[in-house]
Amino acid sequence: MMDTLHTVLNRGCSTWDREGISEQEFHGRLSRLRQGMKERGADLLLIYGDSWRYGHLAFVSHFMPKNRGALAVIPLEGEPALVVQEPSRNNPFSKTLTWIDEVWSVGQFAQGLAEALKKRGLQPKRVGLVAVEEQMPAREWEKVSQALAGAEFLEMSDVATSLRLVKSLSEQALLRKTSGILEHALALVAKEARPGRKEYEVMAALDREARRRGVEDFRFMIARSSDPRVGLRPAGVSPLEQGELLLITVAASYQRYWAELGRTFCLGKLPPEAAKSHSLANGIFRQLAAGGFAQPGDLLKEIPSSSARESALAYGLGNGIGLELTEEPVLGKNGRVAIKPGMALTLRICLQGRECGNALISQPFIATAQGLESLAKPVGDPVCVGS
Amino acid sequence: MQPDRSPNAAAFDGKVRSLREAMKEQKLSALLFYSTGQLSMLEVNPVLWISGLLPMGPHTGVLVTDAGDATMLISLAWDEGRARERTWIEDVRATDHFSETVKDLAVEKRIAGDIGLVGWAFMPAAIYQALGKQFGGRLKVADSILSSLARFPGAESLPALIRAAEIADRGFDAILANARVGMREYELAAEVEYAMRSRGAEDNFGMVTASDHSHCAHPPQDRRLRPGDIIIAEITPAVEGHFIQLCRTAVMGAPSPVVREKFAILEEAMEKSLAQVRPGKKVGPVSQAMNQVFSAYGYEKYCRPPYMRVRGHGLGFQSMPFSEIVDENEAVIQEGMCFVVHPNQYIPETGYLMLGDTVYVEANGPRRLTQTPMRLFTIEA
Repeated sequence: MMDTLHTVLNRGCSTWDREGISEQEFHGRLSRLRQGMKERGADLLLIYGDSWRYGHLAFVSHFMPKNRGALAVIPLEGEPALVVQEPSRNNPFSKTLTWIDEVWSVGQFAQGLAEALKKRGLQPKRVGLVAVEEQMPAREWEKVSQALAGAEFLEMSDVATSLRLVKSLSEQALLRKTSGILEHALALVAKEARPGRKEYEVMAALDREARRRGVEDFRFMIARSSDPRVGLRPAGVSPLEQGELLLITVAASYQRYWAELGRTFCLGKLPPEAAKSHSLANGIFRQLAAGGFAQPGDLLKEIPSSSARESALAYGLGNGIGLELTEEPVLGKNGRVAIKPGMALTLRICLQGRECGNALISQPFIATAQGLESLAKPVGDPVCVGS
Repeated sequence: MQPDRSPNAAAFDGKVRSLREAMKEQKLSALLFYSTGQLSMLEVNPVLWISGLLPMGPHTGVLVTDAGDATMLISLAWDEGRARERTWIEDVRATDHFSETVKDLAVEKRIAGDIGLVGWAFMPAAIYQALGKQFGGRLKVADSILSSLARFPGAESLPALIRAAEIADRGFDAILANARVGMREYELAAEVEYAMRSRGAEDNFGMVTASDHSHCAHPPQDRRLRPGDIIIAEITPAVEGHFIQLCRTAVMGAPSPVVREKFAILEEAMEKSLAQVRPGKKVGPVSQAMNQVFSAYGYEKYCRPPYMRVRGHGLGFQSMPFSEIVDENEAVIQEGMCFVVHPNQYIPETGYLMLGDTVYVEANGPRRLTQTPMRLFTIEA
């Protein structure tokens, strides 16, 4: 599984671009969620998200918590409400991020939930939960469940997950936009990376490029051939060295939609063994993109080194991408994933560690009836920089 | 960026000793330090505090037994190298099944008694329930142990705090150097971020807001800067897991007389509240001093929600002296504490104005860590 270091605040451009994704689209999503509620017999649906994982929440509300969490309260009929854990003075700002008119800015979720239910005269009997128990802090959930005393709880995250799998044309356009921003950011490695430059200086330049283009959040991870013991990690203070290989992956969200892009760079002339390792990775990556994603385990047999195979599996060969950096479907060793047109995927091959070689390729795709369409330029040889 | 800090064995030995004493006092056989991947500037991160590793991935835990041995559980197998590099803990294991692995570990370590949970306040309900199934009534909430042990950053952390303060100063400089009419808020915020991250800030709880009448500081939006805009900035970089906060206000063009007049109230409130920051005094009077100043100018109503409430706070990850500077806080200020004091205030005539500094408490009073003057700034429009 791929992940990155979380930040304390989603502090990039925080807006709702109504041209990018319309209120009408959210009404359609709400309607499909309510269909799921009817099928499961739920009379209330609660959807939770926090500043780290807000996919389900943003799917229905477009809201992205900046540093804590938020809870969407969806009755079977009538207007939904949003409960945000924040000081009340933040309320006008929060309202700019969502189409939901009724936003409660509260200290505790139970308080806002009780207000929303009271306003509607609701006493729910069967409450569907999406990402609530999985993510909401135990102390908050304890009070929320008390506020719903007597109700039966139903786990309904699967309903939201299934609705998010196939991306609409608006979502696809936002994924293309995010991918484009990442290409611009990653292109700066050629200019910024050189011997003696600190990792964080390179990261900062890429971060600025992405933020200038309106991302909400930006992530950067690096692994270096000079220290094969340590895998992809946030940028540190060490200066870059002549002749080493850099595996760099960047990720960003734009209008809540994430993309990930990873490449291999060489500081100086590419050593023959590095070219061989990258060529192997690129061959596997091309096969993944050409249809191998359906049974990715078969492709791993082409990797001669067992530790390199383990590396590829540990980082993951791919996963869905959209409102979260890693979402369904997840491509595993034995997985047989049915990919449908409209799904968005990150495909990835990362060979990192002792006796693994040094190669990283990851990029986003959208599935079409004809196969996978890449959202980034094709991968060539490792980019030699800083010489 | 990850905190770049070699594990300080002596400091961690001291922590483990204190934990063993606390376990003995509270009749606990072990402590489980837990963190989700979600990080908060307003909390001590339990895993970072005990291990030196800022956690990545959904579930990270450190089990410390009453004998003082420790095991770290991480959720990303490929992150094991970073974990081993950062922590003093030798036994590091990757797992996809957190609660089951904790149970297995407890059996392996022959932990028969109660287990204290540190980090319960932010533990997801599902993980708490899963651990409850494994241990039943043997799980005890033990967040108070960390709250009591992590109130001070420690004198050895002063260089990191000072470096963070220098970085915060450069962050605010970036506003003065880059803000121009027509620029979007998020473009300006990107320059602030760059100024700090390119100098080694690991993270930033940073908000830059420009408006002719703000209600609060918030992450940047796409509004273009205009002449006369008031830019409010909350800048909070971290170095080695220690945060520093700087709050300032700048005006695009010459500030109007009313803005100058109202900002002077913030300056007065700052001066009077800092006079209350002395070892042995309570936290509440720091807030009361500010509120008295604003009330004297007729803004008492605006010292309460939905406008204002908190007048400063501790800054987390590595330490937290107390949570909030509010009138009712009875906590006692002690030498070595570090926190931000900010008479940020919504004023109906001007909108929200910001002024705040992080202080390190010394024997004779507060030591301001940043160098940016405590005044209203002007940017040539």
